[in-house]
Amino acid sequence: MSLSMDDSKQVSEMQQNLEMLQELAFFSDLPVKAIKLLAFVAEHQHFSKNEIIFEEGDDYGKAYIIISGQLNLMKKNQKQENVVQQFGKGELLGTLSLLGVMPALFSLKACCDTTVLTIAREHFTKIQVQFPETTAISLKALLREVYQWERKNLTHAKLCCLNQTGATIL
Amino acid sequence: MIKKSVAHRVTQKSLFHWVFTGNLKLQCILLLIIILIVVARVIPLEMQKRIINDSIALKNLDGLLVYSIIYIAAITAAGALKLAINYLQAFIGEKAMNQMRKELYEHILTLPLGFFRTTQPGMVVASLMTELSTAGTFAGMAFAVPLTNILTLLSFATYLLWLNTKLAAATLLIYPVVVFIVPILQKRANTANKRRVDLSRSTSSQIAETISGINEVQVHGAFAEENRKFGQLADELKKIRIRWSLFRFAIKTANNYFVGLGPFIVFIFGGYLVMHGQLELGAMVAFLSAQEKLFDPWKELIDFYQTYQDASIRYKRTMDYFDSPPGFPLLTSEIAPTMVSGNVDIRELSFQTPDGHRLLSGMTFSLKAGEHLAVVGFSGSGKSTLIQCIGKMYSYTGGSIKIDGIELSSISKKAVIQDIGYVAQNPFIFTSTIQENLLYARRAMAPKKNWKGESEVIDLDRLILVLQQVGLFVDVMRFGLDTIIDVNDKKSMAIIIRIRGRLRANFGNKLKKSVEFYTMDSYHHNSSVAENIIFGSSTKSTFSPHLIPENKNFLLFLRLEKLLQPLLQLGVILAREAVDLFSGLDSMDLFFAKSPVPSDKLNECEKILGTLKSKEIEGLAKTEQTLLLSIALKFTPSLHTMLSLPAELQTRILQARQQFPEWCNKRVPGLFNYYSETRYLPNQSILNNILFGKIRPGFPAAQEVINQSITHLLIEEDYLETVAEIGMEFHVGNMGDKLSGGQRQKLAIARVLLKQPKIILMDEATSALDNKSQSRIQRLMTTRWKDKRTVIAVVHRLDIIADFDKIAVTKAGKIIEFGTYKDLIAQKGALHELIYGRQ
Repeated sequence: MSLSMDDSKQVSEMQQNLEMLQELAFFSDLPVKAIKLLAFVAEHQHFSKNEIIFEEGDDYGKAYIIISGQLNLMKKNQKQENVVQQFGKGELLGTLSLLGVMPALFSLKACCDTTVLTIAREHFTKIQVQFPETTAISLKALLREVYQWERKNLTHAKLCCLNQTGATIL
Repeated sequence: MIKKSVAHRVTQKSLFHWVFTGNLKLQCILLLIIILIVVARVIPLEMQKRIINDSIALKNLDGLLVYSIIYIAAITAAGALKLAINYLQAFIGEKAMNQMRKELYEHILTLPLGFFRTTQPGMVVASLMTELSTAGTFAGMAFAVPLTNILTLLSFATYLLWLNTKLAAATLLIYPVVVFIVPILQKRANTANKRRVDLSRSTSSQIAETISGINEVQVHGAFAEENRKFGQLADELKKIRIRWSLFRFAIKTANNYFVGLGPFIVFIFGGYLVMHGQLELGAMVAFLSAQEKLFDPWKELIDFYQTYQDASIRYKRTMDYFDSPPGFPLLTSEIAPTMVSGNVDIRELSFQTPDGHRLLSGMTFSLKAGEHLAVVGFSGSGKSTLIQCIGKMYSYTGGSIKIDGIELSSISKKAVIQDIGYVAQNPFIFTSTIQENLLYARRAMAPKKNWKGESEVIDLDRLILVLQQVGLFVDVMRFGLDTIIDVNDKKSMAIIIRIRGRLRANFGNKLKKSVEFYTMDSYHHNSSVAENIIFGSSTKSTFSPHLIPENKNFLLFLRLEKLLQPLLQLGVILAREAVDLFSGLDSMDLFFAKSPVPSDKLNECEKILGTLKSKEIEGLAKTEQTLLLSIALKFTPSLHTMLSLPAELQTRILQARQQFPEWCNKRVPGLFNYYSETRYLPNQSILNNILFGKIRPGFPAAQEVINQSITHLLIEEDYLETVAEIGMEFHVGNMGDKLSGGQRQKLAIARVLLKQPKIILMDEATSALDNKSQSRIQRLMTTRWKDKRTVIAVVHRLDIIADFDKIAVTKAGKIIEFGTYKDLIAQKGALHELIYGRQ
């Protein structure tokens, strides 16, 4: 007697990860095999309310995709900590840290119980080595991101802050 | 006598020093034996002559017997005496070499640090172990060999002269010729030998350098370059060794040839004399055999001469290399200053390397006892050199450093060691336990007498306190908890089981999110299929889980439970997933941590999948089935996310789990202790026993919550110190490679703290620490050390310097700014620029 394993196959965690990654512009253009491998090594992490994910100065080296909950990006100013940005379900952050060593300028905190999918730099680097086209693809995605980000800033920023812009002409 | 030799450096002693010093009595005994052996060697010659001339010629049987007995007795005595000489020689040689090594080693350890900048460890090893051994052999031979052989030679020569002056004079004429030729050849051999010693030294340095830098070599793939460097040296070494050997053998050959001429002269000249009745036949036989016997001592003398030349070259080359005065006299006559308070006053300090590099120039500042100074600046600006000068690791070449008003150069190294603590950026951790590493500095300060005896007892509370202060206590507890306790320690087991129960009762709810506890009737997702079936831990420490798939009994059980087939199928699915992910890729080892298929089995899996296209699983070879089964048995749902375990299979495994204990106990009773909340899990760590479950992946904060809960309970059960003690027994691996960079730094700080020095020097001592540990050390400094201990710290991270009393900014060996943080920031000078960038 044998089990009908193929029929009763539930969706594996890897499969769920894969679907999530494919929805993100940063990953969706990668070679199928590369994105599959990333889905394979991606890890779930759970944070409870107010748990700190990384602090200023840490080289966290991970990209976070929020599965549920919400994360707050914080910046310490004098003794006070302010929320700079909020990230919710489905959003991706930390892609720059996949590309190389970078001490965080912000800290990241869970504002409620949150589950994320993480991709570590060491894994991403391995993928870049195995699939050299990855670097060019992620660079393009990054360029798109930065461009949109600055365009948004330019329309929303107050006049006083305009002299802080210009990332796209770096 | 020992007192006297202290004044003399070991490297300046002559080779002959080792021959007699401390060996006088032995050498006298040797002399006596040598005289006896010479006599024992001459007797057989005379007996030979008498046997032929008196006994055989005159048919005197009694005489023949007497002479023969004397002959045999003399030979036996000579043999026995030779053995005694060899023994004594070896004894003296080994003793001398031992002494040489120890003294030289002691000397090398005290050499100035600058010396080791240019000296490779491999070179020191080769010098101590290889080069000195010839010198040792020589020291054993130096007295005995020449004396024995010269005496033997002289007595043989005298005997021959007595037998027949003319013939003797003719045969002995050969030797002066040899004495003339050999030194000429030897001189050339020596030149080659010197070159050889130097070359082997460079070669060993080269090897040592490459091996210590093997990371760099492999990262950059610099194999060709390294091979070229080594090859060049090896080739040159080969050439010079051939040359050296050539001359050595030339000497031997020349010697053999000339000495071989001896019998020729005896035949020609002796034969002539016998024919003319001027020599008896017996005498000629004695002559012939004496000729032969002359050869042995002569050869030994020549060998000795060669050894002497070789040894003295090696000895001199080695000793000359290490012949520099010790960095600092360890003991000076002056008594250690009573209790330093820690005022540091530095005026016009400068430091120049021997090759004229100016690293510090004109630094001036002063600190009151208990003040904290942060030294910041660009790399290469002399920060490290400054504190190494204060720590008396290098002697400054100009200006002054005063500790409590006393010039540092006049304070003994011992006092400095006691009162000044130094923490390096990359501290050296010894291959030993945490405890040994902690106590290292303390041990070294203990009086010499105690070294071998009972180690000084430092009470556990103090060790624990220091570990807590530097933030290493959690790690030590972790090491302790990860230890497997002895199966006979029933008392500890009882305590641990009690703690387990209380952990569940008190913290169970808090922990259940991050810990999957073992429960008999639910599938354990953080354990493998095999673990889920057996659900127990083996009582035998030799039990190894990876042999289960081959175990016939276990296969029988799987078949009985109708699990074998489904598991093989599971193996196939997993193999397919792995092949799908990894085929065609290489060096993906990092990714295999999450695959139940090991990277080296991927090809085999690919082959199996190929076979399965045309065959059923039953048609696979035995080993292939075993592989599939082992993959399936290893499958752990929470780790191997490529597949979720089918519910039906889960149920069946749980059924098998219920049957397994009874079934297994029938075959091998007592092999497993099945999981039960009241039973100890043998051969599993203390932590596993307390948790009675596994930590789920993906909860970064879980560890801390668990630590806190467990620590809480350990204190209540009065078991914390025991675990800490076990943890301190943790072996840190080869030079601490089992510790992280941060742990190593914490250990080094703790080591210095135990010493309680008045002045603490830190050279980027916290650079490898994470934020939390960093602020812990920061807190320790501000709360515990302020106003009590003077701190001079080279600081890399500028966000921590605000708490220091004074800041010094260095640039190109000079202090360009000095003052409080506030003042310097307000001044908007170099510090401001370092922190906020150029504006």
